[in-house]
Amino acid sequence: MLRVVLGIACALVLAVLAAHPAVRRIERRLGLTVLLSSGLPFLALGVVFRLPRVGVLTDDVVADLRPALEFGLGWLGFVVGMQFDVRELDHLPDKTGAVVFLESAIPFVTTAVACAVALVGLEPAGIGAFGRESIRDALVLGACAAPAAPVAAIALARTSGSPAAAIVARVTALNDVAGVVVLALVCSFFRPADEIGVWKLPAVAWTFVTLGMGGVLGILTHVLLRGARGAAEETAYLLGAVALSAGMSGYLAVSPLVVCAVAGAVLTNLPQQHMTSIRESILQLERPLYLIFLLVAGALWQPMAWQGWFLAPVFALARVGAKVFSAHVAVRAGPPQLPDAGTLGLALSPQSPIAIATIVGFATLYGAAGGSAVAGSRVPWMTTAVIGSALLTEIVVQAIARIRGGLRFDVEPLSIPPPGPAGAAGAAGAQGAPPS
Amino acid sequence: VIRAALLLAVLVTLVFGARSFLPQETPAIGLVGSGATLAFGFVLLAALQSGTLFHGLRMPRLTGYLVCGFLAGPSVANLVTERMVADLKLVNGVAIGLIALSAGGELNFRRVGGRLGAIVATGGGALAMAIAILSVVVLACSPLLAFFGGMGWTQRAVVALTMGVVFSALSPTVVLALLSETGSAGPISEMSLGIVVVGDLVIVVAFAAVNALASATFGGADAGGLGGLLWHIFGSIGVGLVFGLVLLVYLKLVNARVALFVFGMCFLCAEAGTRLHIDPLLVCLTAGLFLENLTDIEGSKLVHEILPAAMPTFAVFFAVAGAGLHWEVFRAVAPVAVGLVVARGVALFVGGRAGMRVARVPREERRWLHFALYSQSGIAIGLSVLLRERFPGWGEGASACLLGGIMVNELVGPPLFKAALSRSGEAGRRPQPDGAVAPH
Repeated sequence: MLRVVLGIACALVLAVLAAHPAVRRIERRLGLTVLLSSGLPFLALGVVFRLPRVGVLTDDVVADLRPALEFGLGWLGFVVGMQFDVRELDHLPDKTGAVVFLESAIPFVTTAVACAVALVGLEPAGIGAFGRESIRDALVLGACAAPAAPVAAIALARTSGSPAAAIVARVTALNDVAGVVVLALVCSFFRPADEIGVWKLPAVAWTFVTLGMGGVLGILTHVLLRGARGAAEETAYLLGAVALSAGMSGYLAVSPLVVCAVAGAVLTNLPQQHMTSIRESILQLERPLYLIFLLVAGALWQPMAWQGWFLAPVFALARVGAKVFSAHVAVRAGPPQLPDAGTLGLALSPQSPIAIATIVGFATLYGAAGGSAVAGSRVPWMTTAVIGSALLTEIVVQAIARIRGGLRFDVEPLSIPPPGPAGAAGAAGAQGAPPS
Repeated sequence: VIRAALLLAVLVTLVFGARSFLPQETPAIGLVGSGATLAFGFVLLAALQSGTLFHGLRMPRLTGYLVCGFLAGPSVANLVTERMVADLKLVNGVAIGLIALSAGGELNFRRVGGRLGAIVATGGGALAMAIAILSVVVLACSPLLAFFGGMGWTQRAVVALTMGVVFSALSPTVVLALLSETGSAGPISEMSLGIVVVGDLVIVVAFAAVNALASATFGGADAGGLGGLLWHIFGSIGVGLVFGLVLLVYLKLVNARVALFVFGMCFLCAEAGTRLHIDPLLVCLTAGLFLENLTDIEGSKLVHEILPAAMPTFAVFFAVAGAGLHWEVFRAVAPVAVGLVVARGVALFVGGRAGMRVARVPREERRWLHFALYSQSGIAIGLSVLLRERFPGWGEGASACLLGGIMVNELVGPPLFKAALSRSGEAGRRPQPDGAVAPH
């Protein structure tokens, strides 16, 4: 019993330490991203605490913390959605859209195909086991490949200047959105819980439900926040709105990440007097929530299956290869402010924390009850593949960047640049923090 | 008010729609979909809107939270199901911790100074009278109550005493929430807080004692005897001092995201409470008192810092308390419950006034102070539930009677105290920092 208390206390102390400015300064000095510095220890802590011999995150405690997972997914969804400010898009240089498309679509397709082949190879029944659920799994892995970590912007700001950094900041932000769009389609067309729920809707109707729910919840959040009197009430409404959005989507077996991303996008595009303070509120809670999210995700992760570790390098190679290739194409097709193809490819290679959120969100929906026994057993492999690939990519890219020189990955991850043309550049230059 | 009513309608419609997807209680779909997050979001937002509506009707926001929870809960609309209510109990532990920390942080012994005698006399008088009268009333009514069947008079006396102690519990949560909501400051506010906090300590100790007595009489789940009681009290105080020290170090060295840190610590206290048999309320109260009275940290500033975490927690806490009220249970025991409520009210009034007279509390303060005593909430509910768990035989019936009475006190007490604060002129006298709950 005492172990549980001490374990939770230990996690709390670590979360506080990880969020401390001094620790973040050290991270920046060492050029580490959130995944390597504080994220990985929390994932590992979750795995270790869950071991029966350690007995800290017991079934009871994990059950207590499960709503935190759902809520964390919702919060990250809001962060992703709030990057999608259409007013900013108007100020982007011509042909940026092509870069976004190339950097999203090529890694998505390449990784999905490579992983589909690998999944077939891993199944004892071989090609015979390839079915609808295999397509779903490959698509989700593709969705996890599209986002790029927000480390690129500041790295580029130092070497290629603010205009390039601003463009790349927006590219990484919109890559996140692309990943979420694929997840939305997967959740609509491959429903996880049709046997349980009362509603029997065609797949396309679920797409409308997802979008409509996100839209309504975004407007509701907007109206609630407009009426807030003071910071405390604003925080209360924000917490309530995220919980309602995440909870409602979870209840309907729709991804909380997707619905909250739509709600966040609606919120950020509606006129709001106190948007800066809302963004600050979201950012203030973002990192601790992300760390708690990782702790719970770690507790639910089953890393022992070797298939996951086989899939990880396949995923990483396909994704990084596609990112580098698409960078070469993007430099030709995109705006002239972009840096050289090698630098751009390297900058966009590190994996976004949103990829981990995406796969965890997928696992929560499809891991236990959402598919056949065969497909259900593949979900832990996929989780391992994405987490393993994130680590692998980061180590390799950091090493190459240091050897190659000219690109320093010192970052302040997961933050939202203020809207407007100056905002993107400013954020990239000052903080290096394209959202993710 | 119109905006709040419209938003409430939208929220209810949305959740009604979502609930139609899974109308029956079903196992969670995978890991999400348990409904706990949905319930948290809905209860929080709906409670805040109900609070605004009630505020517009010159009623306490807190009553709005309670009524909202009751109407949305399993007894009426069933938008928040039994399982969701159970899932949200986690918030209770955190809320009690935050409330206790705030109460401790607001209670400065130097400021209270000469009033300590009056606080002890008033609280002591009121509680002693309430425990005595309620025990006698329950004992007198015992032939009419089915759960006393087959008991001898000694056993009946023990049960009556146990029920008397539980039903005498006051409510620091309600008092603190209303003082914050109305922005009250002055001698009545300070004394009210002091009385309910001291009263709470007395009830915790008294319950541990009667629990041990009842365990010895009926052979129920043992609370650990005297050793258990001592650990419960002094262990909690010791852990509270450690908690206070940790907070002090954090505020001195880090001083960032204070609300989140305190929330996390309160969660830890709640988890530790259930596992180590310590009282989270006593732990956090000690920590608050330690910071306010033995360090240079200003408790009121800490209370202001944790407001962003406290406000949603309080709203959910009271709404969940409302959702936990069972109409069927109340209907079955209504006559007894109402009788107990009247007896409690009279006893607290008489005992409290007697204590005030002895302590020579000024007449004007005497007139309003007793209104702080009538509300009940978290602690009384917690002890009633504990009774049911520890003594499955008679505990169930006793718990039903007590919960019925608590339900009435929950709804009647807060408006009375709010009115008293307004009439005494103390409401709105506290300077409201930015982001405070609500100006009066």
